[in-house]
Amino acid sequence: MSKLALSLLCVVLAAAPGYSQWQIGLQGGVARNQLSTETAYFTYTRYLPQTGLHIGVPVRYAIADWAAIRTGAELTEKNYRQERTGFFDGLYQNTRNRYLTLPLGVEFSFGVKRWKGYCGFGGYAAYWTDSRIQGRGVSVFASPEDQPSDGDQYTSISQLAPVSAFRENYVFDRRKDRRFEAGWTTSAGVRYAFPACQVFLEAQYRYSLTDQQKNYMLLQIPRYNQTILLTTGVLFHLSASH
Amino acid sequence: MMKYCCFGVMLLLGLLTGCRKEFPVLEDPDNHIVGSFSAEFETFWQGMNNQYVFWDRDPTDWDAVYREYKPKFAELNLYREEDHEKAYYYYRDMTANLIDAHFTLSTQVVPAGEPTSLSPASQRNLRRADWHPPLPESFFFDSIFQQYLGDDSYRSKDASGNPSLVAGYARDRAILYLRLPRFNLRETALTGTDDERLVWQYFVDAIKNPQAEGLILDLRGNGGGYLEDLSFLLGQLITKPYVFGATRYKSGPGRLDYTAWIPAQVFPQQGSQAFTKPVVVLVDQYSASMSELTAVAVKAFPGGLGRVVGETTWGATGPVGSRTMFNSGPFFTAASYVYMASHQFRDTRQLSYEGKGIGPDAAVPQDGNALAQNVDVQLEKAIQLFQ
Repeated sequence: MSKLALSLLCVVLAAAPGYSQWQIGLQGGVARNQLSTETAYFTYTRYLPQTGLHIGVPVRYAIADWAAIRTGAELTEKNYRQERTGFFDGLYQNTRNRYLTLPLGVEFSFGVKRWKGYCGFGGYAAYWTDSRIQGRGVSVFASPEDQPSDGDQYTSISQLAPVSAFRENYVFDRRKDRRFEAGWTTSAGVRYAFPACQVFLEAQYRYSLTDQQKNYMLLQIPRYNQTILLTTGVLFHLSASH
Repeated sequence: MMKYCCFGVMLLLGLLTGCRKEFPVLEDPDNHIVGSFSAEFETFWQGMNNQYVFWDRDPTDWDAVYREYKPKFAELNLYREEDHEKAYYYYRDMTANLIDAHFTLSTQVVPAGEPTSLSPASQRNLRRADWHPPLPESFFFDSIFQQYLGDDSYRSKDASGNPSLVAGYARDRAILYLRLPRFNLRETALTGTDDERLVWQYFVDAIKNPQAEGLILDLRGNGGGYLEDLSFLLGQLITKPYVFGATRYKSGPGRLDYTAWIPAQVFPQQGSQAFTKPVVVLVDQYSASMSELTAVAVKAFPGGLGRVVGETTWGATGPVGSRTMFNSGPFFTAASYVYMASHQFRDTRQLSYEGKGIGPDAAVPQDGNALAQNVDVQLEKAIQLFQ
């Protein structure tokens, strides 16, 4: 597999000898993340995607008019929501996970003159820098006075027990949390070239290949991030040789 | 060139998507069909794997348990009586170091002379240097009532004729005393015998007495009960809610999947008045579960007025709730019932007492010789604290 990737990179590098251009810029957008996992037999529970922010400093090295290598430094929020359903409606936890990301990929352009479309693929490595949780949970210590009287029906957990809001930093557990993430990415976008820079609008899909957890138990249910990025940005030309 | 690149990309992506781990299939232990000891073991092991709430602090290596005992159970046959006895001892050894002091495993067959259910906490208790048998309830109902309480005191029996609530003032003192043999107080107060309801009403009226010097809650030998009693009892003494700790439970099947810590509060009850005098809880090594939580809640009493007197408690502070509600806690297998906590509990200093017990502010070991003379050194120490 790695040989295949290396071969493709060689093809790109050999595409147009003598053509090179460095570009650096800024980008920002949103990240829609889905945690790919399962709740097994745990009832009234589901995971939902959440949207976060994505910012970065993209670096592009054009090796031909139609091919480039893309990298950069990015900060991406890969958020998700776990919520209870049905009778437990109203209990939830929103998790905001922030990753410092280093993507590396190749990009192929097509089109004419100033407008160009492009697509790319590659991989990324990321470090889970911090996590914050916010939500509502139920306490097991109910007050008898809050409970329905004998003979009354109840339809929600909040009628049975006090529900509390929480908002706090998540404390990483060294035994469980794998803070390194790696995966592959694909992208597609359009850009418009000005004399000194180009602006772009692109969509990326990032597919993590590393479990968010270390292998700390038998019969462990994995957790993988899957993220769609919608970003816009600008790339400035630094140098060129033809 | 472009055609080859596209082909390469598609091939690469196809290969990479296959790099993720497979998701294991986890069945609900309550719904397992068990036709062999091997399957029974798997069900029990997996139920514990997913629903035991103390894996973040328990010393047991549950994966090692799987590797060691899976082959052993595979050699057993459900239809051989002697194999059930072997299974009993395997279960005992597997669970010996679990810190959950609520944990009890009830199996279908119990070898002669062995406890009817496996309880690691009971075994730990037997090894205590200060071990003693529990005080009989008649000690509170008769001895304390007659020796230590004044004439204007009340005691009651439940519908089965067993000793129940005892309340009154300490002899020649305005220190209110309440004995609770178990926590089903609200039920007792609402639907108990006439005597029980009378004692409860006496207590509720007495704590509003401005002349009262303080309150002693006697929870020795009280093994716990309903959680709602916490506010039903202590909520009589306050007019505003207060936090005495926090609980959390499982958020998923992973051993270290936990919810956020949710504040544990005591809520005032209707008609309550603020009790601004010291409150002392008497506990011993048989004070468990709700008794221990009540002790922690009293220690956190507003104004620092709470004290705990007696011995280090049992160590079962993790509340027990519904598995459907809290994703953790008790479950059945085809051949056993597992009773265990569904929550972790920690106090306001973030200390956990599970498997360790709550150390008293004033340690007073039980004195068997004194008890034989109807002298209760622990109660006397509690009374002394009010001087």
